[in-house]
Parts: sequence; structure tokens; C-alpha cells
Amino acid sequence: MKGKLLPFAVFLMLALGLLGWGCGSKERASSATLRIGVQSNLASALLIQAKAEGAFAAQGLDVDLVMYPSGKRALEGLFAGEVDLATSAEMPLSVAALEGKEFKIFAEICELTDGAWIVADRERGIHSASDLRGKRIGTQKHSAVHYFLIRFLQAREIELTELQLLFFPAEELHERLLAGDIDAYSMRNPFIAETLKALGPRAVEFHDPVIYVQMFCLAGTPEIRTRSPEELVGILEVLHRQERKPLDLNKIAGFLNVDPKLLQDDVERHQPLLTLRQELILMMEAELAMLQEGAEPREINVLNWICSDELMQVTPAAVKLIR
Amino acid sequence: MRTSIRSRLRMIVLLCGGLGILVVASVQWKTHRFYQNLAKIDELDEVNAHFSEINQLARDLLKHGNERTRTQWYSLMDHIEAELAALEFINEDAEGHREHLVRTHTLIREAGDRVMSYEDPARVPEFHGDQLFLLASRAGDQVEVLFGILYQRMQQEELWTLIAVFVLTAALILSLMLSGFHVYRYIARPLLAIREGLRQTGQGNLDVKLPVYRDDEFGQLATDFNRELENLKKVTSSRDALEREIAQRKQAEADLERTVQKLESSNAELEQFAYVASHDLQQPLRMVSSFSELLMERYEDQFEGEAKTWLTFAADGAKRMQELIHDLLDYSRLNTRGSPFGTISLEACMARAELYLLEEMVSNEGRLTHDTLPELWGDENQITAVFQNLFSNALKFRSDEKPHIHVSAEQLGGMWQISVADNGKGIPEAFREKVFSIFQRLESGQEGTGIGLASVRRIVARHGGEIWVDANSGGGSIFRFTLAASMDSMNSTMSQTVVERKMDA
Repeated sequence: MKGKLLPFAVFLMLALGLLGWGCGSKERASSATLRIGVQSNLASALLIQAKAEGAFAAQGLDVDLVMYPSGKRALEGLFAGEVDLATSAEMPLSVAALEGKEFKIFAEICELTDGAWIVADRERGIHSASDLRGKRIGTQKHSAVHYFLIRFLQAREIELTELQLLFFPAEELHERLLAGDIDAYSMRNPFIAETLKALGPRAVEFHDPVIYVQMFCLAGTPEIRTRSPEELVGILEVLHRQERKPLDLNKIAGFLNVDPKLLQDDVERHQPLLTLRQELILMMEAELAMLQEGAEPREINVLNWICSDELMQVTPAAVKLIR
Repeated sequence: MRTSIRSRLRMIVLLCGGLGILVVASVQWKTHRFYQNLAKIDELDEVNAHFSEINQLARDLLKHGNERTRTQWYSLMDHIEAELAALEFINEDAEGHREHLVRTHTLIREAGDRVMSYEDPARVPEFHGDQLFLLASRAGDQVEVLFGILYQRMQQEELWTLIAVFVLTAALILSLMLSGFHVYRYIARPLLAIREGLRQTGQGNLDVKLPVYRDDEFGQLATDFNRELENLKKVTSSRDALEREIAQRKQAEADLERTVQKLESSNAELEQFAYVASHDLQQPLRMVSSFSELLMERYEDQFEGEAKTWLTFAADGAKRMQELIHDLLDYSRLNTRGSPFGTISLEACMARAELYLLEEMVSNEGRLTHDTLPELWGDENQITAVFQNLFSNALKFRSDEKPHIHVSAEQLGGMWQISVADNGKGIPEAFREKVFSIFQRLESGQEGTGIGLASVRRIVARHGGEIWVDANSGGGSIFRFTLAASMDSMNSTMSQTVVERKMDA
């Protein structure tokens, strides 16, 4: 009897082996380590979850995630050669483009709604958005929070001339508000949370989730395309698979070594995705226009900073920009 | 452990049937899931189409912002909201993305409200429109992700269902192969062996022995078959021996028949010869006797001394010779000149015999007694002759006592045993058989020709009976003979006697 079962067992194993080979045929042999600069929040959720699940290793990729406090710092790390790829919102990328930095955007990986807002001290006479008129408003220059503030004021038909706009490093804004150097500031967490905690009931917040959706992108220097083309495609393949999975906050929190509850508050504002859309170009062009206000405008072709070839290889349907 | 064929067949049917049901169920489930996913894709397609309409309506809203566009906008938003609420996904991945889509829709609605909050569309900041288009585009992306998840799920389900169907089908084929092997091993092979055994047995080979593969129904059948074959072999051996014996007996019977025919022919010739001889001898003997008497009458005076004695001897010899020839003639006629058989009274026969011997009975002061005697089947004259001979002998060979003859009868089945007891001298045991032979006499010079008892035995034999003599406990002899009670009894006895004679021969 056993003798008769053996051919069938061999046949079955071969068949299953072929199936397994077919399913895993896209895996690549591990090569040099790729370093990706990310922020320790849900804007980099796809990358962090993929790393936490071992999806890169399963793809045959050796990927290290390097944490940066912001996208702007991650881009600095990219240009300094600390990392091979970096995630950042579109605003720092627009600034880098304006500065003439060489980089390529390979994909948009997350959209953040209500990622920036304004906090004010009621004792300075600010109770509603219109009360901002005539006040000193602080923000971080040439950043997403700066752009949000501009749009917020525009949406309420408050001219910049009606108030005093002051620029400080992000980490100084909280102290400046408490010190009375400014009456309100436009920023993001965790800085605003610190102020809310300090002011308590005196604090007042102004949100507007529909005026500015931040677009977090995966960018790298142009050399990465020639140095590690397959790895780059591989990373996008991993992100494409992650895009279809629900966010596992416990996994992400475990990797970031933070309390999952902190992430839970942010999860509704983040929309992980993998795409390249025309809207990114429009957004960057709008930001570039803002950045050049008051200066002699330069014509910058945003398409030069966007590379869709790799994403086209992975999921052509996700590429929705006109080339 | 003994497993019956029925149990094996039941197991085979259960296994193959179960696997077959699983295969059918898998295919059915696969088809059901395929159409379920297809329906879900249709629903999603409809949502996608409505999201696509947002772009066009947003432009309209930004350009005109009138009542008509607002009504259409709200209608579209409500419609999409209802469709999103109705969408149900059975897996977490898709459900999570549906929630993202709902959030995006909420943002779109808010963005639209913001645009509509401006009384003059021309005053709407450009970025509001950008954000509206951006969110609509995101919604499209999210719908595509949901499509991707559904397609991926369908592919996975297709793959696993195919694997399941493949494995189950392979298992079913294997089970069928095993069942075939099982049927061959446990049913067909024993059946073929039994068929071959029956074929060989039919051809006369009783040395066949069926293999007993195992202790199941076929094993028991084979064991029973082998046992019955052994019994058949024994019966056949006995039958062969019997057939040989029958053949031998038939041969012996045929030989006996031939011998009997020869004997009967010889007897007939002998009887004819005896008759002719007796008849032809009587004439010259009568002349001898007549002329001897004539010599004695006319020339008695001329014979002297011994001559006269010798002449007397010659005359007595001739007379004696005449008696012998007469008796011999009667003896030879017993079988050929007998009367037809019929129902006769034994007592009447006995009485007639007594009457014939009345003179001797009286002279010897003899006495004849008898029990109640039956009627039976026979020749009355010859049975009378039997009694006459036996009574005569009793009187001739009397003892010093007055002769007493007693006749009795006893029924033994279809035969009567008749006993004639006397109180005469008796017959020594050595002569009890010889007395029935012709010309046998116990004492020389004794009266009689020595043909009487031979004739008695011949008559009894003609009636299908037997005769023998025993010593009478009170002195004398008891002659016993059997006679048939009826014609049927006699025929039966005659047939049996013939067979026994042939067997003895």
C-alpha cells in the first residue's frame, strides 16, 4: 500500500512546489542594505508596517528604517547621504526643488488630513479665527504648517497684512507662545500637544481639514535608480501589497516603541496609499508659487522631480499623472 | 482482525462517496464565492462611477454654484453615502479600506460645503477646488485599492479552491484506485479462484483446493467449498466402489442367469431323460417281471433249490425296479405336471393325506393331531403329497411308542411355517440334510425308494418355501417347512429366493 501511495505523494509535492514557486517567483535575492529615512508617525505607516512584518525580507530586500523627527530632516539626511530614500510631505520637497536639490519622487505613500492646525492663548483675546487679525502668529518657515496657515487665513479672507507673521524653528514655537513672543502658532503634534497641556483651558485650537491635505512622498536621489533599480521596484512592490492591508497599530506601535493609543488618535487623519497623481504636481506648483512670493519668480517644472517609471512597473493603475 | 467483505464495501462506498461529495461541495463553494465577489465588484463599480461624477459636479459647483448644482451635489453625496453604507466586505482588509473611503467621502462633503459657503463662486479660493479634486482623486484611488483587494481575494480563493479540488480529486482518484485494487484483491481474486475451482471440479478434477486468502465471506466460502469437495470425493469414491460392485453383481447375475438357464435346460433335459428313461424302461421291465411271474407259475416245479430262490429274487428286483421307476417318474413330473396354484385349505390337505394313509394309520395305531391350520396359496395335490410323505415316514420310522403326529402352523410375515412333529426314531443330526437328497436312505434294506423327501423338498421349493428337519425334544423329528400365505407373498419370496440364489452363485 505504501508503495502505491508514494508516486501520488511525489506528484502532489511537485504540484504544490510548482504552485509555491509560482507564487514566490517575484522574490529577489538579498543585496546591499537600503536605508530609508522615515518619521515616527503614521505618515510612514506602510514602510514601518512592512518592516515590522518582515515583508522586505520576504521580498529578498535588506531595508533599514532610519528615524527622523520630520520629513524636512529626513530630506536633509537624504541629501547628506545618510539614507538612500526618505519620506517627506510635499512642502519640504517643494522647498528642496526651489533650492535646486537633485531628487526624485517615486510615489506618494500617505495623505494626511488635518495634520496642521493653529493653537492660541485665549488670554490674548483669541476665541475665534477672526480674532487672529492683528495678532502675532508664529510658524516654521517654508514648511507644511506655514502653508496651512496661509490657506487657513485665505479661507477666512484674512489678509497677511492684517496680522504679524513670525518665523521660528518648530521646537521654539511652544516656548515663544508661553513667553508671550507670539499669540498663536501654526504647527503639528507633538508640539501643539505640549502647549495644550501647558495652557489647559486657556488653549484654543483652529482646525480646517479640508483646506490642506499633506501628501507624503517617497523620494530619493537620482543615483538610486541606477544603483539599486531592482531594490527600488522591490520596495514599491512591498508597499503595493501593504496598501491593501489594514493598518496594524499594535505592530507599528511596537516597532516605534510607543503606546498604540497615541497612534489611534491619528489613524483617521492618515490615509496610507501608493500613487502618483496630477494633484501632487498642482500642489507642489502652488507651494512653489507661495514660496516665491515677493521674489523674482522662476519657472520650475515639477515633472523633473517626479519619476513614475518604477511605480508603473509595479502598478500602472496607480500612476495618474499626465506625462 | 476479521473484516467482512460487506464492511469493506461499506467503507469503500463511504470513502469514495464522502470524497465525491467534498469535491462537488468545493466546486459549488468556489462557484458561489466567485459570484459573490462578482456581485461585490459590481457594487463597487457603481460607487466608483458615482465618485467619478464628483469631478464634473465639482467643476460645475465652482463655476455656477447655483441651486441646481447644489441639489445635484447633495443628491450625489447622499447617494454615495448610502452605497458606502450598504457595502459589506467579509474580510478585514477590505472593511478597513471601506472605512477610509467613508472618511474621504466625509471630507469631500465638507469641502463641497466649504465651496458652497461662498455666495459668489468667483470668490472661492483656488485651493478649495484643488482640495476637492484631490480628495475625489483619492477616493478613486481608494476604490481601486478595494478592487485590488477583491481581485486578490478572488485569485487567492481561486487558487486555494483549485488546490482543494485538485487534492480532493486526486484523493478521490486514489480512493477509486485503492477501491479497485481492494475489489480485485478481496472480491475479484477470490471469485476468480472459486470460478476456476468450479470449472476444474466440473471437469472432474476433485483434487482442487481453493486458496483461503483471509477469514472473510470468501474465505469461509472457500473453506466450505474445500470441505464439500472433500465430502464429494468420499461420496464419489463410495459411488465408484458401488458402481464397481454393481457391475460385478450384474456380471455375476448375468453369469448366474446363464448358469440357471443352462441348469434349467439341463434339468429339463434331465427330466425329459428321466421321464423317457422311466417310461421306456418300464416296458422291458414289465416283460422281465411278467415273464418271471409266468416262469414261476408254469415251471415252479421244475426249479429246484437255488434256482427257485434266484427266480424269486429276479421277480422281486423287477418289482422293486418298477417302484423306483414309478417314483422317479413322479419326481420328474413335479415341476412340469403340477396343478395351478390357488387358495387351499391346509387342514383339507392334511385330512386327505390322512385318508390316503388310513390303513397304515390304523395298523400302526397312529394318531394325528393338529392346531388350527390356515388357508394359503399353493397346489393342493402337491401339498397333500407333502403331508402324505411326512406322515408315511412318521409311521414307517416309528419308535416303540404308538405313532403320534402333530401338525401346527405359525405365521411369519407373509409366510406360514408349518411344523409336522412325530415321536418316531428321529434323525441323527449328520443326516438331517442328507435326508432330502434323492435316493438317500438312513438304513440299507429299509423300505422305500429314497425319493419321498427329495420330492417333498422339491414341492416346497416350487411353492417358494424351504424345508428342514429338527430334533423333537420329546423324541422323534419335527419337519418344518414354509409356504406363502398369498400369491403376492409367494411371488415376493420367489423373487428374493432367485436373487439370493444368484448372489450365492
